[in-house]
Amino acid sequence: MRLLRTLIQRELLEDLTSSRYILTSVLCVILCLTSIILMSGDYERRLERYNFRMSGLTQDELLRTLCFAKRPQPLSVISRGVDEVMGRPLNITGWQPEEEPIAHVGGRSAEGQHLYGSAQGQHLFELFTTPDFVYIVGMILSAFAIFLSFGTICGEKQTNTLSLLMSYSIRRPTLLFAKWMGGYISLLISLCPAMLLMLVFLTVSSSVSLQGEDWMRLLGIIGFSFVYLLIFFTLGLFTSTLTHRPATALILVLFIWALWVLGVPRIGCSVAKGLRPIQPNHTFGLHKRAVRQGSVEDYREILWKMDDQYIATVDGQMELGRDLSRFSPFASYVYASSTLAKTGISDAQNFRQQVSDWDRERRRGRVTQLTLPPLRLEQSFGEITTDLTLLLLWNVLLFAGAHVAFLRYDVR
Amino acid sequence: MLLTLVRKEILGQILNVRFYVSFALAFLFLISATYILATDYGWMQKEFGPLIGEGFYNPQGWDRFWVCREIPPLRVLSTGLGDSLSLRSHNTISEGCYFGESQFVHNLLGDILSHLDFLFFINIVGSLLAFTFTYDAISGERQRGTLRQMMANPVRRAVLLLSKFFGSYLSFVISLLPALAGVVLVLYLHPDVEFGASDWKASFWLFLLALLNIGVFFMLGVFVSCVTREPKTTLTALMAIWVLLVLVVPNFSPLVAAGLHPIPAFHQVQGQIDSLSQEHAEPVHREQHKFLDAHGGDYEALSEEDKMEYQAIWRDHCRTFYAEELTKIWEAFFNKMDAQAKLAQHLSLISPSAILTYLASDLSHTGIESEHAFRFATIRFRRRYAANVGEHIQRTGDKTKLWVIDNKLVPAFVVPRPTVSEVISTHLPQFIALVLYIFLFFCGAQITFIRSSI
Repeated sequence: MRLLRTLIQRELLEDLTSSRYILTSVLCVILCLTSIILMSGDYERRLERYNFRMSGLTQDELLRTLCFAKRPQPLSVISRGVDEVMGRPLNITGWQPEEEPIAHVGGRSAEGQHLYGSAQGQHLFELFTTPDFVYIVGMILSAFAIFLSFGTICGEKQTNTLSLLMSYSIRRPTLLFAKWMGGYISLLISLCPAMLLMLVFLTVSSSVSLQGEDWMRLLGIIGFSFVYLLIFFTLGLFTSTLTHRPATALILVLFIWALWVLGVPRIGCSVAKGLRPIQPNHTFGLHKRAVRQGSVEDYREILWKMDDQYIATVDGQMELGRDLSRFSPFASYVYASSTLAKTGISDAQNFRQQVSDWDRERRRGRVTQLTLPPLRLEQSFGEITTDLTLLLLWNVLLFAGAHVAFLRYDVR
Repeated sequence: MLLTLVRKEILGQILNVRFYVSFALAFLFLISATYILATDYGWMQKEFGPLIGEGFYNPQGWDRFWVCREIPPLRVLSTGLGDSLSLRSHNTISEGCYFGESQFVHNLLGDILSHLDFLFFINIVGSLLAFTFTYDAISGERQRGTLRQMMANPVRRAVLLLSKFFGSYLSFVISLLPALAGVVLVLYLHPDVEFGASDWKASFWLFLLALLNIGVFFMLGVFVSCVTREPKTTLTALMAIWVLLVLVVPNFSPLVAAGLHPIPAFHQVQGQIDSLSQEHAEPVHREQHKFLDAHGGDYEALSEEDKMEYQAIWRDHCRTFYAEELTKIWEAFFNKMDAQAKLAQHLSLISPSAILTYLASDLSHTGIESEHAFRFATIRFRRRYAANVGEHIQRTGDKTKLWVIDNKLVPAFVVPRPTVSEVISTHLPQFIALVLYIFLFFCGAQITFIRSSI
């Protein structure tokens, strides 16, 4: 135990005094501050749009215009998810349910918002990837984690200090664990200033106002980020135990990172589109118009059944895409973070269901207040258990792989 | 001497595992990304049905119509604005034109995970691969002790730097060529994608632009390798610079541009539109009242002809108001947006990644310029259509055209598409900027290398 502590301390001392970790820390501060400033500006604009449309809107006005929008979530500054997409103005027109299911996105209410969104540089979020915190951790910091850990074992071998270290009575698992723990703690320490600054910004910012539950969710996202980064740190360590030269380890780990983070999630979604195709919306509209039978009420019920089947195929494709893309920890991380931030797919599905139920009841003559409660905290945490399990499993598998590889590693 | 050193470098790189990893990554990513986007392209065409392809679409007897354009074929290489790119605008005679419509029920995974296209690969993966090829160009040699041996020979430092750059760059290009060939094959063979001559020309320039952009990162890698003493430090420094150039600068420049060249806030424009609408509506309502008073005062008691005449007063006002007065506000607003976007583009010239993104999206007609061209084309179309309807009413007195679209009065809808040569010539400064970056980084590497000990 004392030896382990000594080794971890040595790792910490070596790492935290090296220019790489200091540079990493500075970079994290720049990245996180950039992200939070840009994203809170974006959130402010979307909230302004929402307030312009919805503030002071009475139930009678709502029933007259049938035009509304979903309030942007404050935690969309951390994980944008589908919040912007779900925040677009909806019109329940006279064409529903004959035309597209549930509601129409756009129309008169959308014009000003679309102009405004474009004007304020929102287009640039489509041209350049949205730099929210989840993207930064998911793509950039994961690359940093592997760059910091790829030379842990093979780098020591190259400088001949590994054989020197092993000449002492140190067990290989102990050394590996010390390097893993020491390096990871150093990474977390270098991230701390950035995280703290971000939290301070969120506390003092007037544009983003977080309530008690939001802070719990934010802590959940930060926890997930730590588990996610651990995967890539362990991946770097694992490849370091597979090779004898840092240059080889680097290129190998970059290859795995690129495939795992960039390739697998998107390929998974595309495979799902091929395996569970959805009927094109235009053809679906034609099918609906062809079904005209009985009274307006009967016809409406038939159309709603068709809508439900269509929505089920869309959800089925999404579900398969999610499951396939979960082979990548990046996908699991994004899904979990967006669920915790109330900007995820489950929240979007929940919103869609609420709008649909409200509208159908209204048309059946039972008018109720339109309330759009988001998923509760326990519901969100329930949704993310699969992703959390997967992330932890990846950590265990990668560390086990590193352990086995290091036991057979030639340290000379 | 340079050729010998370059040959040595190429041989060294080709026998290195990074060459094969680069080849594998490029092959897997580029071909699968292109195939996926080509399949999506085909799906989009089916999804939109008749609402795709340049022109005008009006379901029989409706008072609303759509003006549409084709999906840019080069979207399969550079998605640009992605789903935000307007492919159609929904118009009614008595109201404005609406952009930004989309499906409420759709697969949301595309919104949560960004598109992986050719441009994304070059920008993100390509630049990182450039660093892995060059991060130990000088610092690695210094650490291994081979730099001293090399400099013991009569090799000029500039020649050494150039050989490192060209050697690693050419080996990367060699590893990329099969993937590029595969991409061309996918584009040629895929049943849903049909490239014309101009599209192939644009693709060629896109590939050239990508290679030029990658060259900038190669030279940057060599430069930083001269500055630092250890490859690990080089890598961390390169990552820091990469983050600044690829993430921070492109995203911050619109914010700076918005500060330097502010445009009216949303409320101001909306307020302007609302007050103008009211101002113009009042005399029209008065005219309607006058008409009603002159015909008995009770709308329900009017004959069908008189009812139509009554409504025509409002509809005719809408015809001219939405096509003329309101579009002037939009045009002024779009022009200001244009100017702001141009300023953001100029500011982001600091970042080669941003230059590549803007240029590529304009070459493939999926960028901001294309979006603005479509909107202005829609405004011009509405004006001409409103003018045609006005002329028809003046000539024949037939006011039914205020309710029903008459295809004979519809002008041609054309979205101006600059040719590849026009795009290149307009963006020549950006091309020159990329070449300048390579030169500047080389000068920096040269100065640092001369001053550093080996």
